[in-house]
Amino acid sequence: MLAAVGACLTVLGAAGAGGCICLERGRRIDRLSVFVQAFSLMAGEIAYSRISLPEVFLELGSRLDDASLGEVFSGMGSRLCDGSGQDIRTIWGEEMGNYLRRTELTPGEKELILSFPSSVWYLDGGRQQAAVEAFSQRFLEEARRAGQTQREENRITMAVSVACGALAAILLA
Amino acid sequence: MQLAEEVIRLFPEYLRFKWKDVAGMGEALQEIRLRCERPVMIYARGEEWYLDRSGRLTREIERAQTLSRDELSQILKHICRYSLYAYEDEMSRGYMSADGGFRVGIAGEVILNPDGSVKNVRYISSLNIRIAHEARGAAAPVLPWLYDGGRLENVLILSPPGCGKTTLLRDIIRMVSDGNECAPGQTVGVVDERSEIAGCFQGIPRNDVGKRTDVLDGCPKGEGMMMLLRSMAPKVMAVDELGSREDVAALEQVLKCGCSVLATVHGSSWEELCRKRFLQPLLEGHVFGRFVVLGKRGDRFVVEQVRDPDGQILAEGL
Repeated sequence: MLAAVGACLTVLGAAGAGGCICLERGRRIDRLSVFVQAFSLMAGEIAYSRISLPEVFLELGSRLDDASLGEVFSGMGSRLCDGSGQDIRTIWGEEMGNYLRRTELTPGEKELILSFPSSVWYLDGGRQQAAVEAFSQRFLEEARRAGQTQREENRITMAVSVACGALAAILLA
Repeated sequence: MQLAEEVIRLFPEYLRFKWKDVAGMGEALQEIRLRCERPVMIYARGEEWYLDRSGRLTREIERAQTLSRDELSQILKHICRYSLYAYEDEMSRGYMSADGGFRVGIAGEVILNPDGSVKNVRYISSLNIRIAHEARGAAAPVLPWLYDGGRLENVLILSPPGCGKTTLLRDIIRMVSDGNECAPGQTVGVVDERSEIAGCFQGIPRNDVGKRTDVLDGCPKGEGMMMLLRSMAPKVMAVDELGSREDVAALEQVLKCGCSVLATVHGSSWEELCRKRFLQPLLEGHVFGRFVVLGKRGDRFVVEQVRDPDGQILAEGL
């Protein structure tokens, strides 16, 4: 009886460990989806409201679901308007760089987010708008792909962890 | 904020050291002309200056620094806050409004719509930063002549370019709106087609145009006057630079609604004004109760004459 309980606990423990790993990955996907929301809103504001980037950033600051990312956008909007004369690459790099350091995103994803200012570096309004839309679309696809990969990896992780738990229970019995 | 600080803020941080002397010219500064691969030119008190490599002002063109394409594009991006898409409408009219109420004229390669109208400007090669000046109190000497029994007459200000007609109009608007010794404050509607009167940036007037003033920024004069009439019911309507029959037709509509009108027009003399065909309906109808003719003495503008509807001189050299 005691052995049976022990075996169950071992299997449950292994499954729990697998679940934790999946949850950790889930947080990354959640973070990506917040960025998807941010870039989609940004592309929308530019296409339809045609307000300037600092205003778009300030708007995002109050509209994003993730308050901490909202603060980052508000900060960037304020810095672009405060007359300090710093360019958007510097401001984005500093503010977003600090924020990304605290996230679970992969280096590739961080690099992609940090490359956003190159979308608005054109000296042509039409190209700027198209580039921001393309960036938003590209980020959406990256997030979708990451979500799909994560679901597959979660299934494998759970299967392997349960299997490991069962093996350990057999060996211990 | 000081004018010098507002001027320096037009430039990106890494270029500001070069522009300190220029910004320091303050109220004397009139225009900064930036042309790709050409010397930087500064106009102050009617004189032409150049900027050398270290940011000092010089009168010798040989010592002038030329502006690289990269610097020009950095300045442009900074002025429009990396949002050229947001300025396309203004750019199609040949200028952009910058923070501080400055107007930046642009030139480059024009892109046309299929109907032949201007869609946008690309490959921008020249910028002309016009420094907006407020001359508070400039209208004080002329103001008593513009009222008749406490009612503001319809006023047409006439002057050649650069003699301060927009500056005078702005100050008249402010004094009419806030109230003055001749009459209490009145609601003023301003149609600021080129963002020069109120110097709006993102809809907010940077120049003082009075407490009771509503500004329609960047709107064509004809349409704008009708919009303001319908929506804001002004007692006084102000527009800058009448220049077409359409403007005159819209003005006639405004007059039918009982508004007083403050307007300006290009012209070097009373005689030239009388020859302007598009203004004939207004002149023959004695629509304007006062004509203010401006001129220049040195670097200052002066009110040369105030005339009545028959062209009789009421006052001179104010």
